[in-house]
Amino acid sequence: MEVIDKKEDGFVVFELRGRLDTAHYLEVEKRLNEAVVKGNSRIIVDLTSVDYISSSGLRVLLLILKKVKELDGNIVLFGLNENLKEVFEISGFNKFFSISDSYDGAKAALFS
Amino acid sequence: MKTKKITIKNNITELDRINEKISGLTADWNLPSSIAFNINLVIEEIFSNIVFYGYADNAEHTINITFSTNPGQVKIKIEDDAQEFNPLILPLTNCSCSTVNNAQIGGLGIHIVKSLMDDLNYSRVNNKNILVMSKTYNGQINGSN
Repeated sequence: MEVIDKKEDGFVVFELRGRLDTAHYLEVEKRLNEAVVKGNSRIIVDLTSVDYISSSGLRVLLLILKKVKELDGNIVLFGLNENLKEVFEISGFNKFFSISDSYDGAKAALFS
Repeated sequence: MKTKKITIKNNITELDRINEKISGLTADWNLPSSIAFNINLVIEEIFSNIVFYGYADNAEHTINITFSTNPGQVKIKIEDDAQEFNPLILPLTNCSCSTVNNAQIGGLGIHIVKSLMDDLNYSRVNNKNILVMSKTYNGQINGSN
């Protein structure tokens, strides 16, 4: 699992690459946590290069979402393939997360 | 009917090996990528439950996964010698709650398994948990869909 972060004006973009599963979620949890601890409460997560997610991956994203909500922030996801979209739908997580089709859409949603 | 059996240990690092095996099966059996994704996901959810909650000891245990296929259907049998656990008796609970803060995520993995599979059957035989899951799919190639 590769995690690439990029600081923008007023938000951070995390690009994840690989499998967000039980064997690999810890790195993602660690990096996102560090960003929130530093006070970053507006986060875009680029899932374009994530081809797989399990309940462990969903839990990490939910954990971070709860933390940024406490700081009055938000997380917007984009780049989900059809399989990932299905997992978000059957788990009900699509109701918690803002999900956009593009980076520009995610940016707009982050500040709406 | 084609079958393939793999034997793994009760260690979460085995997930990578499971994924490799499923990739091989997907190619050999010409399974749609969405079915391969679903198989991967349900096995991870069941396997991680067994590894994290199934054993009271720290010993090494063996888990058998048998795949079989008929045209348009894949069956997965998971056998383990962990404590008796029937995932099918858990209520089907997804995050139907309205806010993030009261989101209940316990049982999420099992919920995903129940949602993705068409048929599930649990039995306890000779001190083993045996879970059989099956998924049917349209075996015809329909253009780009």
